Amino acid sequence: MTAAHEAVETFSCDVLIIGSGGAGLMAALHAYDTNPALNVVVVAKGLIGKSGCTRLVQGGFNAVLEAGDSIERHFVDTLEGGAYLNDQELAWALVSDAPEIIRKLETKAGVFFDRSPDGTIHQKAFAGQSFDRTVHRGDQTGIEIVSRLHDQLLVRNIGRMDETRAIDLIPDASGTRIAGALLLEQRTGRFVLGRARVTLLATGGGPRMYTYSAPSLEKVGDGYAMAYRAGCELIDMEMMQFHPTGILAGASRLSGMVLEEGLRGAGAFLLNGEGERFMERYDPVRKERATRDVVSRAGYLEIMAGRGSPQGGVFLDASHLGADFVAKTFPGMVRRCAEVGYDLTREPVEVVPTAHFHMGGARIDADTRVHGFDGLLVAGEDAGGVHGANRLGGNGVAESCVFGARAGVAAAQMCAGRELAEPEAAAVARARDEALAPLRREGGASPFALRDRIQRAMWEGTGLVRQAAGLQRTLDVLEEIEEQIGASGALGDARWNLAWQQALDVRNLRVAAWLTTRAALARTESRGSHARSDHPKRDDDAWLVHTVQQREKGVSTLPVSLTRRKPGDPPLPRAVAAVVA
Amino acid sequence: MQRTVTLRIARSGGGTSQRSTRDYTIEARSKMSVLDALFTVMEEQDPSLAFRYSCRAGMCGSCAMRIDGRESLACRERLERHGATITLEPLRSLPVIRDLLVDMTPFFEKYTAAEPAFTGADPSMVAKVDEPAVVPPGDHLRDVVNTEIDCISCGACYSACPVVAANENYLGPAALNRAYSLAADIRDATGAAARRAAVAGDDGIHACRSTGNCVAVCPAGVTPLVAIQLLRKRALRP
Amino acid sequence: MRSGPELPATSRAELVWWFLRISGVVLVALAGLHLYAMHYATAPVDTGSAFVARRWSDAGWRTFDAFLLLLAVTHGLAGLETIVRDALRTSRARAVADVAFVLLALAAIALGATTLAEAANVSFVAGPLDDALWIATVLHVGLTAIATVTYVAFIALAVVLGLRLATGQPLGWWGFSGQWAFALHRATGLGVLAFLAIHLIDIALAPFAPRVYDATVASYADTYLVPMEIALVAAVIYHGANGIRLIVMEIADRRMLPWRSTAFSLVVIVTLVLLAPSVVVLVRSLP
Repeated sequence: MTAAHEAVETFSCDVLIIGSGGAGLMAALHAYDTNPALNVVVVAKGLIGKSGCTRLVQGGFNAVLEAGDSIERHFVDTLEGGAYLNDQELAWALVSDAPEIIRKLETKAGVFFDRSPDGTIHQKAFAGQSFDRTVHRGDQTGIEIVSRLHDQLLVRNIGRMDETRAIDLIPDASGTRIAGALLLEQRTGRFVLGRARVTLLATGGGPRMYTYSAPSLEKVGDGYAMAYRAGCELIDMEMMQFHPTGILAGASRLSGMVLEEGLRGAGAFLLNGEGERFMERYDPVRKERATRDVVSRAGYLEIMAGRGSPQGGVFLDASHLGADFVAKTFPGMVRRCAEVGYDLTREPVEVVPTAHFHMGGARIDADTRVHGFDGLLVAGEDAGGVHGANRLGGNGVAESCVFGARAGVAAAQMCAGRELAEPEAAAVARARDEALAPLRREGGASPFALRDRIQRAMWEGTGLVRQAAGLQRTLDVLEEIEEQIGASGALGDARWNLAWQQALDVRNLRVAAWLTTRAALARTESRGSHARSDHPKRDDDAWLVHTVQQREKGVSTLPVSLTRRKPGDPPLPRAVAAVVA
Repeated sequence: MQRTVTLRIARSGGGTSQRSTRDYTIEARSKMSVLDALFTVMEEQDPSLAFRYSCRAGMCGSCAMRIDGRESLACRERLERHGATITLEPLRSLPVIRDLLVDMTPFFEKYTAAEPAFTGADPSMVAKVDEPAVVPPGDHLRDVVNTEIDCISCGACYSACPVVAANENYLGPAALNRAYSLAADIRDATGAAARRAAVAGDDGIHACRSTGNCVAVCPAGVTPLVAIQLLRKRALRP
Repeated sequence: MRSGPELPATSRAELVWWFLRISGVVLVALAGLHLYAMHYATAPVDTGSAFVARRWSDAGWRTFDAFLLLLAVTHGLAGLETIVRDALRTSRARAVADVAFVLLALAAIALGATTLAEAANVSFVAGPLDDALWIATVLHVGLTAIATVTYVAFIALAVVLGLRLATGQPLGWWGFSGQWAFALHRATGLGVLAFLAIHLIDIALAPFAPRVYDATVASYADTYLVPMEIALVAAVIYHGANGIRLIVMEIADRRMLPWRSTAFSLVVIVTLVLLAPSVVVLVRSLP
């Protein structure tokens, strides 16, 4: 029964990519194309090319393509949106690379973006931007991007392991050189050790630790938990973006799924339970087109004040835009609403702020190298710093694709002349034993109930508006849950055991929730998506810093490097062809 | 509407090769889908139940299965639109791993055989990047390609097609639909010779019997039947 | 950018596909007329050697029947080949099957050509094979076998589907009109081809053994075979009508999508309507 006697099957490769969303797929293609002799392997928890959150992207991808727009303008929009908490070099890399990535997606992967009447790529309006620069395909941009990138993967000699989850990153004896990862094949229940010269973590984070959340069901913060356990620095974990309009669909898991920002970009209203257009009170200038943090908090406060809708949300009303327009512009959403009994073209739909994107993550440089580690890259939502305190709509899939590409190129370059590291046997054994533990126990709380408890605690204590007592209570509950996780069993066959997988999910979900709450307690100011009712003001003097969490080093801070721009710098002149917000 | 619903689920594999059905009764709560119901069964009654899921919003295609005999996405089938007993079976024509979980490998192998990848002037991601094509309104690329690229590779059409069931080598509706999208897409520079051969061969477009089950079941509104006909007619600019 | 769309290469499969459709359209006319002559203008029981003699004294009819034979055999075997090809995995097995079919076709055409050549020269009163009455028995047994298979298949299908409906089991793809159209098209094609095999042999008797031929025609009036007569006419009409439906759908492509089910219903209705007079004729001719 002891782990030491059970040998783990091992394979070796050059680049091990954990995750198959925009970041993972772009990285795989770029690494391979840089050097087709490399053995690149993509590992994903679900089906590669189908699962994950890039697939769910509805809105679009921000990029500077028009002459009237500029990289600097996109950069300033990103910093303003991020309340200057952004890592400016990462943000600059994002906006600089985005235009070429759009061109690559179109001309090399065959993604077909919507066109304007003049035949050029159409860019629509999205909140918080000074120029209409959001490239899209209908209202389902993500499906097109992921499908076309996956096609490219199929015709290259790139290895793949579907329905295989990563359990932990495995270091060598030094502890700071990553030698690969311990993987678990869900179908067979077999552990496999993947040794690699370079490992890329791109699992996509995804905040499913709240009662209402948008991401795919398999997203539980595996990346954050693995990075944390490996000893990486995780920055700005308190920065949790809530999307203001997650659909409310009764008792269905569809609840929380996002109704895209483009609806508000096109002019839809938000109404409270009394039929009032409440955004006029919270942001009289931008109203519904204010950034997501402002609109989400407004909705949340209306609900808390008792002015919510029957299901405990608010109403999103696009009917005044014209039924034909809505049907033609947002066909995917109209259909999704219709399936749960709403007519988006003609009546208000019940929505609720939903946990949507986690700005925080592993600390990286502009080439996705993890600070303090060798042989480890992190790209996409698992990484922190690009978006600061709040992400602009359209910058998320841009981040995945931009940094995925950079990671791929960096990985290929790093492989040259680099040997495989020797994985530390004790780390492998420990990772496997911890993962096997629930399978060898019986009884205790059901992993599903534990997941629900985490989600409820986070929704109530680490939600849209936070205060010290609530956050502390959440930490206490999470500690209690940690003990319960230690006693919870999912005894049974190892093959496709969804209860065991949920137990592993809950272990990581709890870590991600705990990191988020700890950081939220530490930051005693309000900035971007982090709102403290007991510290309601933004404090640039004391708090223009990242929160940093690292195993065995608690919570510390790191000043934001204002390399290119400071808050309060003169605004850019108005754009020639800007949207009127 | 509080009522109970019985899921009659095809069980197999997991150590036994026996195929059987088992009934599970649950309370059907507001707006629940078949996928929600499966979770209820798995979490509350039988954790050994095997099924696949991801986005729960009809975009990834992971939860495709036969619901009351007809291929569909479990996350998009609301319980209130079905009767008191709902039969769930895995997709047809694909190896069953366990219960409702099928092996999508043959589907993707055939998809790959139809050369599904767009080929630009220089396909390498790290080589020179061209400007995107200008596509004015009225260009066929807009209408024709615009509907057929919505495929989410869920496998519903593959399962519903009687020719796929009869002919192990038939490429199938999804693969041929993808081939059509690329054949019609003049942004695609080289037009793979392998695609032309695969499509025109014995197990390509000419094996289609115009049955139309693919159109009836596609959750994304794609029409492989039409794509195949257009390839046959070489009417790539309708 | 390419200069134009990329077109599929021409292939063996495509040639067969075109052939089935072109020959099918011509057969609708030829077989339709033939059917009319045999089952509407006359009762089948009256198509003895005298009838055949009258008909084949006309060079025009002999030419007509030659084309009918050529197209029916090649169309039928090409259709059978598509079914058999689906079941064969390797290109070697398929090549073997192709050779077999070509040989069968040549044999059938040779038989028919010999028959027609003989028909031009004889009296149809007596012939060299008139003692071989056992041939009539063999043919009757053959037809009875095909009839039995058909009846059993019908009953089995009705029972299986009935049970499914009764126990609330889903119909699966049998809930799609396209599936029924497809299955019936194959079933009717196979049925007509099987009958054709018998028929080619029996009609060859007319010039070579008219008395045996008359005995054969009389034996086909067996009560057991009456439903089979009706089924045969229905099969030919259905196969032709559905074939037209398929061709129209393929030409109209996207425009026909909303009409798929309606078109199939129409085919069924047309089949029944056109079938009716032949049933009347048949029933009237029974003793």
